[in-house]
Amino acid sequence: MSYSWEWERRRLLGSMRRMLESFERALSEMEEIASLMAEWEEEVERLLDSRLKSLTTGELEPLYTIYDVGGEYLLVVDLPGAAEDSIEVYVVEDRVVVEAEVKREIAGAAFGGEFYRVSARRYRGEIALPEPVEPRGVRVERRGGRLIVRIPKKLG
Amino acid sequence: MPHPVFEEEFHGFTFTEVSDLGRPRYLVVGVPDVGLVGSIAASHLVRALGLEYRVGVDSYTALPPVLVIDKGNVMPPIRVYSKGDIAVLLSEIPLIPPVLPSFSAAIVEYARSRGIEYIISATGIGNPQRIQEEKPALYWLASDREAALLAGSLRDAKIPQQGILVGAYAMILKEAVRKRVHNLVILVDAYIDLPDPEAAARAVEAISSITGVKVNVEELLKEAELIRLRTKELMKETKSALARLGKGLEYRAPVLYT
Repeated sequence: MSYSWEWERRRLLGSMRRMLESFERALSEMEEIASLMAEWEEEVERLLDSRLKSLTTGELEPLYTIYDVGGEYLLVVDLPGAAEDSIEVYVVEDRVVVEAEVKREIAGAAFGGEFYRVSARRYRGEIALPEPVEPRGVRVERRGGRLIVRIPKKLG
Repeated sequence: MPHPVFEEEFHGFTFTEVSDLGRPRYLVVGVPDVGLVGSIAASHLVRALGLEYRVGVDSYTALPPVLVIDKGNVMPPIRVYSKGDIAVLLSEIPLIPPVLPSFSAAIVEYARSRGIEYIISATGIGNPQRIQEEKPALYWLASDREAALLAGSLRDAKIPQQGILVGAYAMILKEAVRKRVHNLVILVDAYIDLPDPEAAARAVEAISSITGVKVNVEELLKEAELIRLRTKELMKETKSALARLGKGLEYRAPVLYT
């Protein structure tokens, strides 16, 4: 009889411990979600600032992607709607500056329907490179509104 | 202004039907991901096939307080459009990591409850070779044999032999396997963090060939620059969500190799 009572007591304690453990796990998952949400909010705040700047100045920051392909960096800058003869690229030691005018008809067609006024007049981007480069060997080509910049790494 | 006619909830997501969804065979899912391939493809399907707004998907806890205005009508950020055999789910906002498990489970459960035969997911796969490709390479993954048979018409597509898939499409595929729902994932080489309408056009061609529904992609290719400009800010938001999702895992080999 006493053995059965002891066994029952242990069983109850065991299930209480398991409940507490799963509660603790759920709590730590919630904490993780909350911290991710907080990080996300910071990012959204940064995006809002840059968007407000674009709205007031009409200056867009171009999207870009960088690939490390051994001896050089391959930089792809997306310049949809840029007027071809207005594109300027400057490469200095550790960064690339890209500027271009946005064709009015493309900007109008892209944002014409919004209830707020979007002025997209020009692109300006200052892109930091992962390491110093050799600006003299830079090659630039344009493919379908994307700018492809091949930048040799500095030797030695 | 459309009035709700029916509402049901799956895993914290409310599906509000504003007009009859019908009995579509295919549900194409396009949420913001690599190169916005799924979003651009889904949006093109809605426009090119004249699909109609049927269902709004929303959540009090999992989505930001966003509503979308279209021709004076207000709509939730995630919507289902349909006509005939095809339904398309598209999202205006990137989904953050904590939301993905319940979102994916809700989509699969909804498709099952509505008797949808196949979920077709379209997404990009970030590949540095994309820069060299005039026509981006196409791949597919299937949840089961029935979904694999659907890919039979994709003659120039390959099955990825090894790798890691991260994000909403990975979660939907896992959930589909568990729930025995047929899911085909179409993957196209794309710029990871630049909107890629050319890759989306390739995904649309694949969907057209699978479903037998003719869709013209000329307009999509013609408007590529305009789409890239219009979706630039969504791409920025998506890139930030992808980084938090551990998207970088896709660029390493799995432990087990053959």
